[in-house]
Amino acid sequence: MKIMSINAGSSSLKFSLFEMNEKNCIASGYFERVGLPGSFYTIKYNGEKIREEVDMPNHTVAVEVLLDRLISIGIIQDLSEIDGIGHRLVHGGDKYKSSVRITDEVVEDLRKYSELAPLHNPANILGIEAIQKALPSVPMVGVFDTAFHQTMDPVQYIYPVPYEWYTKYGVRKYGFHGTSHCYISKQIPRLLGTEEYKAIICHLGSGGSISAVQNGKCIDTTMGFTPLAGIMMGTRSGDIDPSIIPFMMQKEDKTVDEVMDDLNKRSGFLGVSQTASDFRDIYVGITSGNEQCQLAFDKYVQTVVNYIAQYYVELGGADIICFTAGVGENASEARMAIMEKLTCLGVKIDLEKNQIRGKEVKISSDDSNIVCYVVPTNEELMIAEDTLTLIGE
Amino acid sequence: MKILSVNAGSSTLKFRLYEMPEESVLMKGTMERIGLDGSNLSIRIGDEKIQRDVVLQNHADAVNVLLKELLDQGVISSLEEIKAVGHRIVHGGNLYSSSVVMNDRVIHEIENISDLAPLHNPANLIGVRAFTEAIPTAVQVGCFDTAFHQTLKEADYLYPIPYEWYVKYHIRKYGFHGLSHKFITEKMTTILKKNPNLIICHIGNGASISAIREGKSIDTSMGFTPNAGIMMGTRSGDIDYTLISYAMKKTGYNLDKIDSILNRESGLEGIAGMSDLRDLDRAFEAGEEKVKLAFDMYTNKIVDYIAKYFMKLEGKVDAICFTAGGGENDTIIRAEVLKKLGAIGVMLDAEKNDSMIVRKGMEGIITTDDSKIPVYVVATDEELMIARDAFALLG
Repeated sequence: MKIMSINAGSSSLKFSLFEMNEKNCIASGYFERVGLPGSFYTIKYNGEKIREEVDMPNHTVAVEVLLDRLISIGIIQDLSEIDGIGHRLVHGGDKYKSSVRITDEVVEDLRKYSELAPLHNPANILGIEAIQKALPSVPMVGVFDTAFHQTMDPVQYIYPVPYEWYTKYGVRKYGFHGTSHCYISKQIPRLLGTEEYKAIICHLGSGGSISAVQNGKCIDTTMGFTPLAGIMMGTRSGDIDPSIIPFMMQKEDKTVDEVMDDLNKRSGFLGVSQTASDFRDIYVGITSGNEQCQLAFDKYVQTVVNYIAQYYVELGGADIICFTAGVGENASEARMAIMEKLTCLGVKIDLEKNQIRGKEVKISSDDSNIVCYVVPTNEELMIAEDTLTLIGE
Repeated sequence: MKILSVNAGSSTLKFRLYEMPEESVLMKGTMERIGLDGSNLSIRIGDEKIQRDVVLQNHADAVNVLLKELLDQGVISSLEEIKAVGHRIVHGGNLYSSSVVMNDRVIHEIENISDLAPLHNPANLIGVRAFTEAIPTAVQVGCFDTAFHQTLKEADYLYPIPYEWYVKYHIRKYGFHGLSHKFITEKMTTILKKNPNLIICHIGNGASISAIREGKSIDTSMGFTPNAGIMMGTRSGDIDYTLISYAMKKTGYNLDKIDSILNRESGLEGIAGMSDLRDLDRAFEAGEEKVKLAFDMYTNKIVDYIAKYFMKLEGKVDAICFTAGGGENDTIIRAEVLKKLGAIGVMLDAEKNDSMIVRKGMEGIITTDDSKIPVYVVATDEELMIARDAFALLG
């Protein structure tokens, strides 16, 4: 049984092909600069990396190239081997609380919610349409980034702004990275040996979000109406005083969109360090004595710790803290700094285990009050599993 | 020695005359609608209350009327008795970390940072000028709302935004309500007989929470402006700021209108349609759904900040304090907050909480003896803080 997960961006297309019997990713690839000059793809298969420049003026052509290469490289013999396609979809508004078989209605809703995710939803639709054209008889499933957080209560998702902004315009906290948070929360019963748990999941990547999860249900999360809210990120500010926006518009005679762009693309690590948005570069900066990098690091750690503290109290305690995604899985320095600040909750780090990178590992010592784990995330597998479940129904 | 404590707003002037160092209030009052139709004066001397309409074309008028009243009522026999006038000044930028004797240079510097507090600083300075002219022999002292929080560290006051915004435009966390946070800190220092670690919840119509380590502010919930941090009476506090541009597009309002909505029609008002805590309490007890939601949100945000600051203080918190109108008197808000703090070992004593109402003259602890952190209800007094600082600066 083979399932393919698709993640379509505005000028890119990622895929992973899974053999679901072994939950094994047999091939994956990235099609870049779709619709732009110099488009190319890379496919990983059998330990090899294949790169080819092909003219791909749109997503339809990208999908044609993808399917053609799957056969010509020998990854599959026939397209009929693909039993289902799972699409990563960004915004399902407050309608989609779980993954769903893709129908015309779903595509219409994606269009409707496009104003909530103007960069992502239209790209997701392009991906769906291209696959549909090429593989009309293969069932497709949509897996939403927002769905996992739909279990939040109104007290968490309503903003203290005029209530009719919620009823009229859908202004509320949605939360993102849901597929990752969902994947990690599904691993926790195995790690703890119980279905009943209180967890704080830190998805720390270039984008980052933290969620509070109880018995598999999301209680709260840091991203909000958009993915710009919450903790500090690579280039995004996360939470700030909203009054900074009108002030900056006045100071630099900018439009609101221009200031938003600054907060989205020139803030976070990049804004504070003035050098880099990537955590690895920040760390190199710190070791060579760059004070701005140190400041960015300290600020980052503080915003993460703030939310862990909040969720600890909100959950009424915590059994487990999980670190995942690029920084969470690899940056032992960040994990150490974060965990040191959690000492008063009885968190104790296992310094040796914490040095392990990119693998599932318990990084708290045996006498820690809260168990801490690194759990590599696997959004693609999560998508494939949801797809498998739904096409079986 | 007599010291006048003054808070000048754009159309108001609040004042208290103190006998120092005894700290007794000789007279207090408010002038309202200065420069507007229907301006009036309200004064209390002991139990006596004077209220009347009086033409106040500007702050100089208001000051002159006030001083004449002091003389006429026999509170003072000559203006020279007033040795100092302490002025509340909202924004001291990163220039002032304590109260200061006002002179031309200071006034000029405060003018220069007026764009940080365009509604408040100019009004505050009008008060300074009017009193300088009326009582040239008195020392004028500026007491800043921001000064107490100048002890924050860089990683705590900087925002994760382009660094040059800080360098060029001084965008950083300043924090406000500093006079109140300082007053409570000093009061708790006396009560606990140590330089305490505190979490102070100043819950008024505007509201802020601060973390105090050994008597010094290390973090606070208000930010670059007072519309940050916890949800307030009519202010949103922290939100996903991208909803500003979204709301602009959806409503067709311009930025100023949206900003005004976030300051005046949001918070409790936005959810429950009312912002006065006493009205809200009644509606809450009547079980109104929207009010329950609003209260649940409101207390959650307070709890969020207490949690953050608990961690920031490494769990070493000598006391959590509630102060200002809501914090001093609203038993429901306090109870709801404390019930959500079980994870850090805070235990509400419902009976004590119900009796601790500053308006009825009661202050003290509202937690049980086995609570890991004691929670205090403490009355704040920003006017007295101003008078104390002014007195101290006289040497």
